Amino acid sequence: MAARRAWELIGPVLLVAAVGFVGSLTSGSMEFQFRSVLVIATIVVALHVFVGNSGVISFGHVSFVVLGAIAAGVATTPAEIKARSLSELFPFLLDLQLSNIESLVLAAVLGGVFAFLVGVPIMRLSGLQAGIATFAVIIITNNVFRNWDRIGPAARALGPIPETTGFLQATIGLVLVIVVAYGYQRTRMARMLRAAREDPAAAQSSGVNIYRQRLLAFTLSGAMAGLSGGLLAHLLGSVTTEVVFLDLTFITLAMLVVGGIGSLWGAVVGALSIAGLNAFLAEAEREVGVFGFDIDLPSGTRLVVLGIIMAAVLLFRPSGLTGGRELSWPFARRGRVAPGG
Amino acid sequence: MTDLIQSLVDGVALGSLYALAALGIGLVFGVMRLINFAYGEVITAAAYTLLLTKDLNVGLRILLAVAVAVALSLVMEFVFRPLRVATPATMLITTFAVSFLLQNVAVLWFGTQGESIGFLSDLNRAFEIGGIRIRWITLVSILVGGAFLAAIAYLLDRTDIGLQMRAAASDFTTARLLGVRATRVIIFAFILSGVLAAVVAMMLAVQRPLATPTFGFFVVIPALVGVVVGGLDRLLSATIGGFVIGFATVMLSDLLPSQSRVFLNSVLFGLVIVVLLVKPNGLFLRGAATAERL
Amino acid sequence: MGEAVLQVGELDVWFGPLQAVRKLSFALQPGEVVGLVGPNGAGKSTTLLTIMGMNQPTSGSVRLGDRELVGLSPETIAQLGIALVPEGRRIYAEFTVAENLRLGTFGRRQADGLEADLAWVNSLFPIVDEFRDRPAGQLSGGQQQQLAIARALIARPQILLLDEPSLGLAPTIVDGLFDALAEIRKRGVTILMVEQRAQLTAEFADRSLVMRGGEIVLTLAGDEPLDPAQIASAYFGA
Ligand SMILES: Nc1ncnc2c1ncn2[C@@H]1O[C@H](COP(=O)(O)OP(=O)(O)OP(=O)(O)O)[C@@H](O)[C@H]1O
Ligand SMILES: [Mg+2]
Repeated sequence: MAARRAWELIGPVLLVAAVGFVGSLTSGSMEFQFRSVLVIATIVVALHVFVGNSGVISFGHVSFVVLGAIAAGVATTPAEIKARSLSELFPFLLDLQLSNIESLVLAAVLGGVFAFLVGVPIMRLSGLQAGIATFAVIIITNNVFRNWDRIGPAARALGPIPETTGFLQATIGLVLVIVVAYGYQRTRMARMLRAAREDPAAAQSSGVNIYRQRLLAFTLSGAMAGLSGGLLAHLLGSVTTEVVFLDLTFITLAMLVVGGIGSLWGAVVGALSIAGLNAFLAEAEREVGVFGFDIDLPSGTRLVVLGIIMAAVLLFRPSGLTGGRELSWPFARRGRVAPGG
Repeated sequence: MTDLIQSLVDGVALGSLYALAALGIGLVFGVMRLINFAYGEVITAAAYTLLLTKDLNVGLRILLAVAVAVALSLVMEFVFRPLRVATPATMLITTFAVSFLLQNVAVLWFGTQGESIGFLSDLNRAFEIGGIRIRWITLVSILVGGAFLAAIAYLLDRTDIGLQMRAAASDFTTARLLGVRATRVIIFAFILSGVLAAVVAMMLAVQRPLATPTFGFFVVIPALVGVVVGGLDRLLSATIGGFVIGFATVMLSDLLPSQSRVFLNSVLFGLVIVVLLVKPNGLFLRGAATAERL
Repeated sequence: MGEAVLQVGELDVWFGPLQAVRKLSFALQPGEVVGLVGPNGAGKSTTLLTIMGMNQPTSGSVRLGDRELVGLSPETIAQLGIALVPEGRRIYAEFTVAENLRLGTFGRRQADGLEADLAWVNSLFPIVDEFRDRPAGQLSGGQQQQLAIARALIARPQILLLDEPSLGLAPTIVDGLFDALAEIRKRGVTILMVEQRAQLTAEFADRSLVMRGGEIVLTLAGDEPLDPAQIASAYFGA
């Protein structure tokens, strides 16, 4: 039983480690693609902590990612470059110099604080209303970052940011969020939140404070999203607000749904498969041999193929690749199948 | 004073445009509980049709734009059929995936640069009345918007298919038990919403004559927000919500001091959050309609 | 026995792990009035909804004449001549009374004769005409039930299914309701009515089926004297 439980954690971690290991054997642009896959998956797992447990769709998580990315970027871009190209920054931001790890911690903390502040009002809402409110958050965040040059690069690119998100950091980052997500999922609080997802009225009447539980999940998930933003900044080496906006919002949500909303395994599988496919197609567009295939796609095909595949999975397998279930212990007899609805 | 009237007129014009888009979204939501993010791409498709038919006469261009929008809308209806039994979350993300897909098809086909549509650009000329300059397209937007809203209101109120659509929107199960054909009603809603998309595309093409892959997306997003803020559960409230978003956009951008105008979206969406918190079921919806749960 | 208009055979309906209807079989003869009674959760509504095509049975058949209904959509079944007055009436509260009635016409098989049917329904339930322009939500409970039945009748059904029409109505109103049902029966409409009021139903119907746990546990012929103890034991499984 314990082994079976632990497998829900070990399975995803092993998969991630394998991806990290295989990636570290590659080189050049392929190697970069592998690292991006890991970082994107980190964002998706962060998103899962809130969406998967609460059942509420958040369009706002990329706000925390972009905050983390800009914070980590501003904190690690060399001071003399900031003084030259981002001279309008608040003086304390111009002076701020953090180490790589410190910048990641800062990104996580800011992501969590921001999520908490936003969550205090918004977590009172449910359903589509909550979805639209979180959407408003990403629009506002983007609007402010894009136009306020005292806190970030505004419409320019921020950088050069030290590219420290190598395989080790990308893999550790992802494993870390998986472990935290798993740990959280096992707590009583997360169980209450999931109960509220299934039947809000019953959960409420049995004394679950849905608002407080959602706020907690949102904050935790925001901190993780902030961290992944930091990793992203250190992966890309430069950040613009547009890179971390609507496309990323919807791609990460789609990954979550394609994998299967509700399970950690679904988040990991959805992220790795779609991000992996994306990387594969990106390489194919560059007219290079991929995994022994010589494919040459006109550029722009990548997103079309990606769109077709995402739409097809959603239409024909709406519960996602994993059906929203955790990875089950492969060596035991099949457990009781949950009754279909 | 004339400034204010000027803003009011412009606000009504943009408002009626967003109201049409909101109605297009609301009609489909009513019968299918589906928020169609990809509605923007129906508008985009109509805009590209206008672009591709540049050399034809105006009547034909209008006809073709409507035909293409309706056809794409019908294809969407067919593609979305499996969603009728899906969870709202899956519905929402799937239509987004389709929107994403179509935008990228447009990128592949036309590139991201944008091409000039050149459709009835004479309507951008203005006439003056009592010190206010009104562009013809403003007037046309208001009139066409009003006419279509009235026509659809009549259709819903007075015709059999309209009654069936209203019944389906209010209680689909009972409607089916009474013999209302689900698929027919849904198809009809998609046709109407396709027509509205073409109308929106044409009004927009005059004023923002650049056809880009996100031409419709950036109309549908505010319209969608308007729909939710106004109240999804009733077509009227959803449509008014769309109108208000358009109107508020113009008013805010005229009222804000010029250096903070870039923060228009922040102010607008900040208000959206406030409204949602105060009236989660919709600003223009009386009574306790139940909110959709995701 | 003659040719049945509706034949339900070996019907099984599951909701996830729960079986709501088990191996249910019965037949309705033309013009017959059959009561379906039983405790809460017996599977009565499920049976009606399955006949209407709202639930998919895992096995079994529902035949209208020689036509299989299982697998058809509710709207098709409605247009084949079965009308359901659903549990809780399901009136469109914000529509006018006339609009509610008009919704019933979409289940009609033939277009002609609407005038005559309308006249009949109006004579049966005068309030439907009297309050035609009022929002249906403003009607009293009894009036709403009348409207719901009128709406079903205007489809000119061969078979009328009623799910707890007397629920929540005052006794005098229930009497009026049964008078109307008697009129409908005179027209030759076959009626299957689910009711909580076993006594009243058993007296009115030609036959009553007592259902419990998804099965028919007792059949009561209308002309036999009723034995309350027998009904009680069928209800509660003593
Ligand atoms: N849509 C559904 N999903 C899941 N379970 C259902 C559904 N409809 C009915 N049930 C279950 O099936 C069983 C039979 O329900 P049904 O409504 O048919 O009972 P009933 O005899 O009509 O009872 P009542 O007198 O309370 O109306 C009940 O246990 C009920 O909970
Ligand atoms: Mg019942």
